[in-house]
Amino acid sequence: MASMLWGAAALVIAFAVAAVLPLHSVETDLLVPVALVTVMIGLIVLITRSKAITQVVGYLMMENGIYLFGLTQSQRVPFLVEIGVLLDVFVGVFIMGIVVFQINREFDSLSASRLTELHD
Amino acid sequence: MLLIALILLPALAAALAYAAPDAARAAILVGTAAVHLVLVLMTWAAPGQQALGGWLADDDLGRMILTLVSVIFLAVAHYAVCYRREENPRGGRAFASCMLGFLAAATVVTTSHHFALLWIGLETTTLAVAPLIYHRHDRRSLEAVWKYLVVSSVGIAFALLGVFLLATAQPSGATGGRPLVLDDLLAHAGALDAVWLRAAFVFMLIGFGTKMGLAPLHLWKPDTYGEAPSLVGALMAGALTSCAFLGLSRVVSICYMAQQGAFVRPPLIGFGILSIAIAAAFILGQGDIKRLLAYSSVEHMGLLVLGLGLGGVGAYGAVLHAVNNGLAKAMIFLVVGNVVLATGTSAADEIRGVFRRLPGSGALLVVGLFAVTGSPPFGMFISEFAIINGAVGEHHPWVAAIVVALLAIIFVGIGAMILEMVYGERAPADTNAGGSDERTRLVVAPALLAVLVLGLGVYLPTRLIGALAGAAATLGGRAP
Repeated sequence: MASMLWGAAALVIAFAVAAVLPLHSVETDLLVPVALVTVMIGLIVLITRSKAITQVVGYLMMENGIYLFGLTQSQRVPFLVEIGVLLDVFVGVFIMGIVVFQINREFDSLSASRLTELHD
Repeated sequence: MLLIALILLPALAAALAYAAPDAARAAILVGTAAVHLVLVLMTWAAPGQQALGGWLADDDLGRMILTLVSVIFLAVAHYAVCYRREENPRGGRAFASCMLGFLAAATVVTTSHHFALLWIGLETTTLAVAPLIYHRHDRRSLEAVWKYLVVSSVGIAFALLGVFLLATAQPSGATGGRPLVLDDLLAHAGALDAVWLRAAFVFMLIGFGTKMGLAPLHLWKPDTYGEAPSLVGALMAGALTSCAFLGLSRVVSICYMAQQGAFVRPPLIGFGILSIAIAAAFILGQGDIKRLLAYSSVEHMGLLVLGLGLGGVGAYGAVLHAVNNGLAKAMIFLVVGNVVLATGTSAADEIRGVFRRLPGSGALLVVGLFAVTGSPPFGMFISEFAIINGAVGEHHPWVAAIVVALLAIIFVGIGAMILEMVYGERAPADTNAGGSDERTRLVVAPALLAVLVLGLGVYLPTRLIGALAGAAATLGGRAP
């Protein structure tokens, strides 16, 4: 329930922020707010969920939102650079997957909230 | 051509090291590092090179950070090879490859003049370091690598959004120049859309700030530096954070050129002071030497952005400070690695009498204490003095006063811990019957770095002063 309220707040914020960021090159007004809200909801999922695998999903949602925004620049950012960015994200999620596997093996659980040994 | 060779050499060596037998791997690692440094020195002889249609280019700031990375990498590579004779960790095959991959990615960051390429390089350094952190394969390092991966990935994702926002700020066609190419962004800075540029700056400050470890985005740092092997800490605190600082400097230079100084300065100065203050608070009462060094790194990253935000002599100081901090941090992390190897712990209360057991490392630890706290005659003193001088010169006397007070607190905190470790009486649990445990070959790399830090404090070569002034000029600063 709390997450849904956070998500609704993110939607309002996204439209408010998009209002001051005018995009001249694109036909639709919806692209910027939708990209922003996807990034914010990804961040909310990442912060509020305790399962490691769900946090990875939250990270992927963030990247989706960023890529959605990147569509506005697709004619100006060269193909090879986009492939490089995608490859990095892929390898990043791949490494996260390995770490999630290790967490599951070590703790018999996918919960990242078990990781509490390190503190000052 | 030289720039491409600088990137391809470590990238190919990383693949080669993975395939090579154990005996050859050490030679590949150190050999590649040495050849890389020679190539980097050749760029000093022929500055201003370009490759890939201006996407890779050599400039004063990038060349300095590249040289810093290359020097640190050679020292760490030599140390790593010697270290493996003392303690044979798992996964040695991947270890050398990840280190070399890191060098290739860091070279991309320091030579690229294209923002998306810079981002790709920085993300690759993040990923290349992750397996090195999870080196001990236990629960604590698992927690450290998880926190590092999640926080860094989110931070660097924000930086990617910043890159796209920067592309949006650039008008299309001839008025804007080539998309996302630094030189064209600077040349046509007046044509950039101010609102999008500001948004790009905010996201890149958060993104690169997370990689640098600015407070309050530093939460991964103590855990990661505390659990990673010390030589990985040296690589991260010395080289990785400097690369992130370079990324931030690039976007700041565009903002200054586009007359956005009034928008950019307050957050930079604010992040700087907050980082130094939080570092001071956590350094006092810290119980672990590696976590202490992590907070010291937070402090110095704060000084770097403070210098960037102040401009004037402060910008000159920030660039010099990046070089000094990188060398000093790498040096003290390697020395701490020797101490941890001999005592088996990094908890400060359990380490006593380092000077008796490890005379060379003990002496270097005291040298490192004075080097990282910016005492004369070490290089950090000059650069910290230039940053504080910049604060006074740019009419922020209260900033100078706060920073000096916080630096004094940090000096006391670090000094108390290290002096106790080096000269303190034997701990009750210490079963060592006396005599030296020193491994001479493990002292070579930190000793050479210490000589460099001291040398930069006593004498700055003319070429370096010229490069510093050139770099400071792009960041709205000037030489003193």
